[in-house]
Amino acid sequence: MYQNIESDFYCISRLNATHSIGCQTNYGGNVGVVFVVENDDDLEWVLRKGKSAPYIPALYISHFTKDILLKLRDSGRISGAILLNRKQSARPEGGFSPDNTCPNYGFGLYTNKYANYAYCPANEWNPKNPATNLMYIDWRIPIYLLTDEASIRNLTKCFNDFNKPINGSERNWPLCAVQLNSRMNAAVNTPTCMRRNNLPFIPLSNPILFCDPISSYNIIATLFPTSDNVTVNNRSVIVVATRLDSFSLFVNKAMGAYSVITSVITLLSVAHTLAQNVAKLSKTDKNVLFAFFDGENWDYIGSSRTAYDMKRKNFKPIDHFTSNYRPAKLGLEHISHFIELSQIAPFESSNTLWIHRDPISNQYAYVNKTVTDLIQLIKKKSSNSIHVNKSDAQSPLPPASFQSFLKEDLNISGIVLSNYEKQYTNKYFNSFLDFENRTNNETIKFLANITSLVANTIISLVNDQEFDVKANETISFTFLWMANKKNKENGSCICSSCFLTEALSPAFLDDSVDWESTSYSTWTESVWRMSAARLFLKPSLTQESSTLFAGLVIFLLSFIIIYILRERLPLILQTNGDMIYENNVSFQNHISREIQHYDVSGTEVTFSNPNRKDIVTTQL
Amino acid sequence: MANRGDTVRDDDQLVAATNCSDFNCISGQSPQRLMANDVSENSAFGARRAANTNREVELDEEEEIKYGAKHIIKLFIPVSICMLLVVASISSISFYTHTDVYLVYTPFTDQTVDTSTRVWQSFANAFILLGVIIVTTIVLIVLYKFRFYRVITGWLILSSFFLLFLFSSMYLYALLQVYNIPLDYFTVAVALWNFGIVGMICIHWKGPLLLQQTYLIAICALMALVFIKYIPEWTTWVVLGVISVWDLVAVLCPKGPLRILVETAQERNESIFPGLIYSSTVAYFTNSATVNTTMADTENEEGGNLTDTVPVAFVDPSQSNRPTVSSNQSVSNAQNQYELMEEERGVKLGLGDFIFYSVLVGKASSYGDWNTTLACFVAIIIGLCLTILLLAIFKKALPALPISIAFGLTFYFATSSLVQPFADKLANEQFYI
Amino acid sequence: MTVMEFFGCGLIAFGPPFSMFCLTICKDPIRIIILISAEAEAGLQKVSEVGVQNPVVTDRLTLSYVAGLGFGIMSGAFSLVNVLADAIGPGTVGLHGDSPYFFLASAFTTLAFILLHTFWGIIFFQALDMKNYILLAYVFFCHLSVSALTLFNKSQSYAASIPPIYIITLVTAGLAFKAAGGSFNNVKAACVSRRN
Repeated sequence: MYQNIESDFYCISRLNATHSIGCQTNYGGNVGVVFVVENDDDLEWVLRKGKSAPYIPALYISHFTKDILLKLRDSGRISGAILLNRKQSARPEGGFSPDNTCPNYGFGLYTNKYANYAYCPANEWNPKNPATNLMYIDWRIPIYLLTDEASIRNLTKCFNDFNKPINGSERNWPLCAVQLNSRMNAAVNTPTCMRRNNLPFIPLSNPILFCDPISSYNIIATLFPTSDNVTVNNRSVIVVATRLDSFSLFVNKAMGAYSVITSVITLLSVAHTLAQNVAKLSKTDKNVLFAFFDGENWDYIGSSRTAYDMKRKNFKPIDHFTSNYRPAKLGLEHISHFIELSQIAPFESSNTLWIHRDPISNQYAYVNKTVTDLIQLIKKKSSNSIHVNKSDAQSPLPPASFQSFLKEDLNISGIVLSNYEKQYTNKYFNSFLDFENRTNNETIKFLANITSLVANTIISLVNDQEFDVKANETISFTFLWMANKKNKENGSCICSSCFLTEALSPAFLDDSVDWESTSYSTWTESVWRMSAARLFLKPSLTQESSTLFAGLVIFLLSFIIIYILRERLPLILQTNGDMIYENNVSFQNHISREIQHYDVSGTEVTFSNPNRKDIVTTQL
Repeated sequence: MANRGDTVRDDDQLVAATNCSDFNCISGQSPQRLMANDVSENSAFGARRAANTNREVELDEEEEIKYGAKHIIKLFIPVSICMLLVVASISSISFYTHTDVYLVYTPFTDQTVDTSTRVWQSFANAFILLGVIIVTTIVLIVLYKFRFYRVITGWLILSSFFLLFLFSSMYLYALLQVYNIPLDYFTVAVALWNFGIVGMICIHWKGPLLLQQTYLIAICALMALVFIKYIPEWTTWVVLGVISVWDLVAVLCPKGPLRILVETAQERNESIFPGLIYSSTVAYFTNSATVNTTMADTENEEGGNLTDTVPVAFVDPSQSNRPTVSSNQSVSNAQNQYELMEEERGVKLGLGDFIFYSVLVGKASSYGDWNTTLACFVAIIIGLCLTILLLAIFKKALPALPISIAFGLTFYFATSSLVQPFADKLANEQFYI
Repeated sequence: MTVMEFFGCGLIAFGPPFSMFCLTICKDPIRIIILISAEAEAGLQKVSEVGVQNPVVTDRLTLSYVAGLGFGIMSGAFSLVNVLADAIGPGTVGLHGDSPYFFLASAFTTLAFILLHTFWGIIFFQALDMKNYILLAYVFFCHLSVSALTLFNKSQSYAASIPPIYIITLVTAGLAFKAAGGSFNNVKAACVSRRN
C-alpha cells in the first residue's frame, strides 16, 4: 500500500533573531500528487493546467532554481517539492550555490560601523547563480532530495503509470501521490523558540524542545604544549586557522569539498609537517596555534566565540574531554600573526594564491608593517609552482573567521589565503554538489606545495635560523578526521596538545543571554522528530465518499430490516415452535421449570419469545 | 521521559515514581476482589429461604442470576471503558509506549542484556514490586484492624490527589503535544483544578454516582498508563502473572490479608473505602441497608452487633464524611427497606482489577496489532464473566484477577505469536476461514 | 484522507451486525454475555448448570442466534481489524497493481461471513438438536465451499467470489429461517396481520 522512498536528505528549519528560514511540513506530513517536471510544459501543467492540486513536483536540477521554486510555491498549487539528482548526474554549468552572494553579511567586522564595506558593496563574493539565496527563504513547504537510484526509479515509474497525462489530458483517479513528513517544532524566530524551550517543567512529563542553538566544537592544537602557570609573551602566538563546516539546502548532504575540506587538509598537513620537524626548531618563546573553527557559515559562531573568550581571558578547553590538560589562557594580545586558509585549492586548474588584507586594521602602522613583512616572507618562500598575488589593499576581507578577531581587536595582524581574488571560483559553494569524486592528483600536489609554503613561512616566523621543509606530496584524504577508521591495533595513547573548545555563539551564554543580538550569531536549528517520505495511490474524493455512502446506506438499511424483523419475528416463527423442540427431551425439563416459574411470578423473567408461553400452554 | 540526563530532573522523577507506586499499592492490592452483595444479601435470603418453599428458592436463584447478569454487564461497561481509554491513549500518544526512566521498584531496567538475564531480572523486578505491595497491604490491614480510619482516609485522599492532579496533568501535556494543540497556562490551571477537586469531592465525599464512577475509571486508566510506561517491557508480563497469584492467595487463604480486610469490614458492617472499590450501585447505602436487613432478620443476635457497629458507622469521624446515610432511611418503613435492599445489591470490583486489566490490554496494544488487543480484551471480559458466575456459586469475595489475567496472558502470547501472523496472511490474501 | 474509506468499510462490514446487536441483544445482559463468550459457551453452560437453572440459556434458538452472531463478529473482527487499521492514512491500495477495490471486497466478504456464521450457528444448533445430519453436513460443506470461493480474491476476481458468496448467504439465511421455525406462509401471515 505504501512504499517508502529515500528520506535522508531534506531541508530543515533554522531561525535567527528575526526570521525563520527553511522548510516546514504540516502536522502529519504534506501530501501531494507527484508530477515529474522534465520540461517547461510540465511546469505549466503543475502551475496552471493540472486539476489535481496540490501537487508535489519532482524537479531535475535544471528546473530546481530559485525563480521556479518561488513561482511554484506562490501559485499555492504545490504542497512540497522533490529534487531528483542521481549520484552520477552532471552538475549544472551555471553553478549551484544556495548561499547568499554576500555570505554572513551583517556579522563579522564589516557591519554598519564600517558602512563602506558592509553588505559587499564592491563585489559579491559568491557569484550569482540560479540557486542563489535558496537557503535563506522561508519556504513553508517540505523540499526533499532524492539521490537513490531505486527511489527515483520508483517515483518516476509511479508517475508514468498513474499520473502522466496522455495526449495532454488528465489521468483518472487514483493518482500517484507522495507524502513528505519532516515536521519542525520551531517557529517564528530564535527569541520565541528559546523562550518556549524554557517553559515550566511538568513532573514526569516529556518536555518538548523546540530548537537548539547551532553549536559544536572548535578543534584547537598548539605546536608546543602550553601551561596555565607559564606566562605567554604578547604577540608571540601565530594562529593558523580554517573553517570546519559547510552546509547545503539539504541536511546530511553537505560535503564541502572545495568550500572546506581542501583547507582543512592543508592545515592538517601543515601541522603534521611542523610536528615532524619540531625537534629542529630551537627553543623559542613563540608558539603556533592551529585552529579549526566550526559553525562559521552561521555568522561565525566558532571564531566569534573564540575571540570573545580570548578577550575575556576565558579561552579554555571544554571540561569533559581533556580535564587534565590546562593550556595557557591565551588572549587576543598574544596573537602575533593570523593566517587563515579559506577555499585554498584551485577549483579549476590554476596555481595562483591570493592574499587578502583588511583595509581597516592596516591603517595602524604596526599592523601594516607586520602584514607587509608577512606577505614579503610568503612571496619569498613561494616556489615556482605557486603564484602569490596580493588583492587590492582597499578591498575588504572576504567572509573569514579572521573578521571575528578583528572585530574584537583591530591590532591583530593577519591575512587570508585563498584561490580567488574578487569572487569565489567554486561554483558550488556550500551546496550538496560541492564534492570531488576522483582522486585529483594535481590538487593534491598543489595542496602539498601550499603546505610547504605555509610551513616554511611559519618556521621563519617562529625560528631564528631558517630552514626549509618540504611537505609529503602524497598527502591524501586518509587523515583520521576524514576517514574515521577504527584503529585495528589494540589502541594507543596519543600525547597531544590538542583540545576542543565550545563553538556556541556568545549570544547564548548564560551570563550574557541575548537572543536578539546583532553582533553575535543567533542561529538556532529547529528540533524535528523524524523524516519520512512514502509513495502511494491517492483515491479520488468520489471513491472515498461513495464508500462512506455505501457504508451508511447498508448500515441504515440493515437497521430498518432488522427492526421490522424483530417486530414481526413472533408472528413469523409462531406455529412451528413446538415442532422444533419436540424431540428435545432435556428441554422439556427446562420448559416445565419455566412453567413453574410463570406460575409463581406471573411475570416474564426470561427473555424467551412471548409466543413461548403459547407453545407451552398448548403442550400442557 | 526526559531524555537529556539532567540530574535534578532525575531526582524529581524518582520522588514522583515513589509516590506513584504508593498509589499502586493502595489501589493495587487491597481492592483486587469481587465482593458478593455483602452479608446483608445473604442473610436476607437466608431469612426468606427459611420461610419459603423449594419453588421459591428457585425463583430467588433465577432472579439472582438475572441480577447477576445485569451486574456483570454493569461491570462490563466500566471495565471496557477503562480498557478502551487505555488502548486509545496507548495507540495515539507515543509518550506512553517508550521510556528511559523506570520505577524505583524495578531496579533491573537494562533492555539490552541477553534473554536469560532479562528473564531473571524481570522476575526479580516483579518480586520486588510484589514485596512492596505485600508490605503496604499489611500496613493497610493493620491500620484498618486497629481502626486508624483517619490515617487510611488521609492516605487515600493523598494518593487520589496525586493521581488526579499529577497524572492527569501529565496526560494532558502528552495529549497536547501529540495533537499539537497550543493551550495557555491559565486554562490548563482552571481545568485541572476543577477536574481534580471535583474528583476528590466525588470520590471521598459525595457526588452523583455516575460522576463518581467516571472518576474511578479515569483514575484507573491513568494509573494503568503509568504502569505501562514505567515498568520495563518483560517485567510487566511477569508482574501481571505474579500479582494474580498473589491476588488468589490474599483473597482465598484463611489468613490472606485481603480476606481479613473483607471479613473485618463485614464484621463491622462497613463498606470498604470508596477510593478503592468500584461499585455498580451506590456504595454509601450499604451501611443503612445492612442495618435494616439485619434488624429485620434475627433481632436478638444481630441486635448486639448492631449497637456495636452503628455507632462506628455514624460517629466515627472517618465515616462521618460519608454522604447522607441519612437517619431518615435507617428508620424508614418496610417498603423502603426492601427498595434499599434491591438498590444495594451490586457487584463491587476493586480498582486494582481495573488497573491490571487495562495494563494487560494496553501493553498488548502497544505493539500495534489490533488482533492481539482484541483477543486480550475478549479474554479478560470472559474471565470476568466466569469470575462473576463463580461469585454467584460461592457467594463470597473472590479474586478477580487470576482467571482474567490467565486468559489474557494466554491469549496475548498465543495471538501475537501464532494467530496474528496467520490472520495477517489471510487478510492480505483476502482468504476467509 | 481515507478516513472516509475507513468508516465506509467499517460500516459495510460491521453495520448490519451492529444493528443486530443493538436491536436484539444489548437489552438483555445474558445475551451480551453469550455473545462475548460464544467461544467459551460450553464452559459457560456448565457453570450455569452447576449454579442455577437458567431459563435463558435454555432458549436454544436465541442461544444459537446470539452465539452464532458472537462467533461471526469475532471472526469478522479478526479478519478485518488490521486491514481497517491500514485504511486510516492518506493512501489506498493499488500501487503495485493491486485492485483499488481491495478494501471494499474485504468489507463485503467480512459482512457475508458474519451473517453466514450467524445462520450457520442457528442451523447447526437445530441440526444437532434434531439429529438432522443433512443440515449438519450442509453447514460443514457450505463453510468449506464459501471459504474456497474466497481463494478467488487473491487473483482479484472479485466477481467470481463475492456474488456466489452472497447467493450462498441468501440460501443459508433461508435455511436458517426454516430451521428457526419460519415458513413462507408465516411471512405472509405476519404481513397480513400487521396490516389488519
